[in-house]
Amino acid sequence: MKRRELPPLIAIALILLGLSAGSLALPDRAFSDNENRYLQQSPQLTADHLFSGKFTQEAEKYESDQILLRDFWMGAASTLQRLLGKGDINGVYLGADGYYFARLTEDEFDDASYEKNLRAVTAFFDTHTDVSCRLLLSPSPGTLLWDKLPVGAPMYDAAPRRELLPALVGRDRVVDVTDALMALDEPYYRTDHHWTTVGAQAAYEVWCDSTNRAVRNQELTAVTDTFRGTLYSKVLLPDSPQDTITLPKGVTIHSMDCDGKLTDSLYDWSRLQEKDQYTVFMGGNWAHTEIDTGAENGRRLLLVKDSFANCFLPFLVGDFEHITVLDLRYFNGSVEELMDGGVTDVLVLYEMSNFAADHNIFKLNQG
Amino acid sequence: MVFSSTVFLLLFLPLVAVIYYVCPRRGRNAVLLIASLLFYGWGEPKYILIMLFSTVFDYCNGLGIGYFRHLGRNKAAKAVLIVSVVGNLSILGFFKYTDFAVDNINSLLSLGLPALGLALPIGISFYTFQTMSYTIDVYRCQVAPQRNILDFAAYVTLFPQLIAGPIVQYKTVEKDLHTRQENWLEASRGMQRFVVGLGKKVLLANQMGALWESISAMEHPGVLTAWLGALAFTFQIYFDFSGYSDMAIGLGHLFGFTFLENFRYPYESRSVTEFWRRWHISLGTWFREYVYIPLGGNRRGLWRQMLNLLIVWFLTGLWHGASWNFVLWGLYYAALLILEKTVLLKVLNRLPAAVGHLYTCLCFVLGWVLFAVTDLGRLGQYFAAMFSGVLIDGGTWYLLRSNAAWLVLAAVGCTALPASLWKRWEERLPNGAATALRAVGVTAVLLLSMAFLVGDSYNPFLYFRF
Repeated sequence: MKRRELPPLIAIALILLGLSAGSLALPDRAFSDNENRYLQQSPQLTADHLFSGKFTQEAEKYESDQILLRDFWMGAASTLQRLLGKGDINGVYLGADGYYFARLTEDEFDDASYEKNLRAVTAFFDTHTDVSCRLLLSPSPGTLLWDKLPVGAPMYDAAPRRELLPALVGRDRVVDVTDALMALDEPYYRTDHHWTTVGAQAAYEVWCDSTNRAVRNQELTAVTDTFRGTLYSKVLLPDSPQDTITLPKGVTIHSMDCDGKLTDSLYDWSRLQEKDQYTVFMGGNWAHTEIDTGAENGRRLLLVKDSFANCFLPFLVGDFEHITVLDLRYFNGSVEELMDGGVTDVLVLYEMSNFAADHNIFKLNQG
Repeated sequence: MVFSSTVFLLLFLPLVAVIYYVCPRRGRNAVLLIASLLFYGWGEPKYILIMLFSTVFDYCNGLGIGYFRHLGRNKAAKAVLIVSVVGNLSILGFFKYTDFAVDNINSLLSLGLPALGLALPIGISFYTFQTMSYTIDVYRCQVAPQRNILDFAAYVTLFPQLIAGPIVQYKTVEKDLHTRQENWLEASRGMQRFVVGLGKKVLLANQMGALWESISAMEHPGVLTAWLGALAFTFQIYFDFSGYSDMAIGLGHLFGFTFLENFRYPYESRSVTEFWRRWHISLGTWFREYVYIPLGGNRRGLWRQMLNLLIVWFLTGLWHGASWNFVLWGLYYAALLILEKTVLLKVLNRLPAAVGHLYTCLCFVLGWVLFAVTDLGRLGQYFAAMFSGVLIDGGTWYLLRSNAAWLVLAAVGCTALPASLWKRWEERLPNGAATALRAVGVTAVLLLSMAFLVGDSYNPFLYFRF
């Protein structure tokens, strides 16, 4: 009788002790490529940390982050979720044709902040009437490709927010790229929250139209077909699709200064070896970037943006002699000072939900 | 520390279990005491002192009561008991209810008294009730006072039931404290029970909790969505709480203790009266033995019984958290229980069982909404959403479809069906096969729980208000 009861206990003990020993023996990982985040390192035991609770918090995170087969556990949990018919995992919808979409419901869209930001942009535009100013808000992927969302999945309605733009900012100063993107096969990546370079190019053409520029045709070349982006990092399904990143290879610049780091290319090719291959564009996000394009046409652009602009930027190079790029999340200097340097054009480019959620837009109007 | 964490499962538990079994029997209570202090101090390094004070305080009170009882000085014994009860309730009151009282006094008298802003020591409601049960039972001569402070401290701090119950009365583990016989059979069953509890918490409760949280955050849920949310919380609280009790009882077995059952498939009940005999049994028992019966119970006429019920359920509600919604929740049950005692039970007994089930389900689902939404304004809004407005909102069907499988699993899982099916199969299988199947079953649940612990970040602790 007794012996027969033992196998379940042995199974449980083997799993717990095995995982425990395995996790301890395994060398710690600093970064999780799959999740695209830094993992907790061995916590420091000091009296200070112990009594503030920092030590125990870090120890719990450490134990969970450095567990044996972490990626396997995460993939297994997601696989079971999907098997049981869940339409979303960790806030990401599992859409049709392998598309993932960040979930953002009607309640979650912060209209007050959205309107406040729009007013800040308008105020900024109004103080620079001598400069050609444009606001371009890329639609959130889930609102544009709504037919690929799981049936009935709650997503905020972009239409009323879009209609607000001409009224608040001014019809001529808004670049509406919705229809142009809608006409494309793949305006957004499947596994990443950004638009594809094809999408960015279509948006560029609309911007050209809006600013009375002739569109210059750029040929796009594929540089990787193994891209799994930020949405994949949340879903972590082992059989997630892989995306292709294309870019206009022929674009050259004279020099680029990213927060003091100098380079002569818009692309950081080394990033293609890393997990987040989208950072091939500009090598990621910087607070303040100055680009000398080498074109001599006297036009200078101030680009205020989120990461959606990173793959949009190459198309602009031929149109300007100099481009100043600001990411207000990190930039704390004076925008006005930069405007004094002879800026002829301003473009504010964000993804719509990013723009609504951003609490830094006010910095535009600070001295 | 909580059971549903990798630190507990992969570091604390294996280490403590190995040291415990390596240690000779004489030292095992000391091992448990040290382990329990570590377990508690992990999240509450400062509040460990309150627990230790509580332990020493009632250790002395127990000795004092026993001493005076022995001498036949009953009044003195009673005085010590009163010191004990007042002391325990003061500690509980100070940490748990001061800010609530200050808040209410402020709004009643328009004053601006400052709140203490104390964090509630986790588990304080459980261990103060446990130590009170001890001194009261010593006074009632139901147990002998514990002379060994180490053994007594091991009882008070015993980590399996420390932070989320069950409320283990001293008399139920008095023997175990001294003469328990750990054996592999019990350890194996205990760990299987633990894994089942872990699965209930990590797999079912957390999924249902995430659903409830997303719905309760909605500004204008449709009627159906609001009911779905209420149902999700109903499942969450059951699987979370009974899962914790399973884990506690299972761990108790691992260390040779037998704790009484805390849940007996309460959602199968056919009346609210029955529901409360099957839900959080250890709390109901505590209030019956130490409040309801001393107040006279049902022996002093109907009116007095109703008053007693009202008192007990007011306190039961308040015990669950220092907020008016918990009081409302308690009084809601007092009303239902009085109604059942006077008329409804007789009616229900004559009706088909399904009617009783349906009525009871309705009662506890509505009850859980009272329990879940602590802000009274929000509470009103939520009830309004359940009974008025649009039937379905834009997301209703999606939420239903996306969670349908989990909901079915939860609905089946909260009944006795899986256990009875398992029993029937096990009897038909040859011995070896049944054990093998058991091993496969617990392995699967444990592995899945690990996957969800690591992969799913949503893992709340619900008892921080208790």
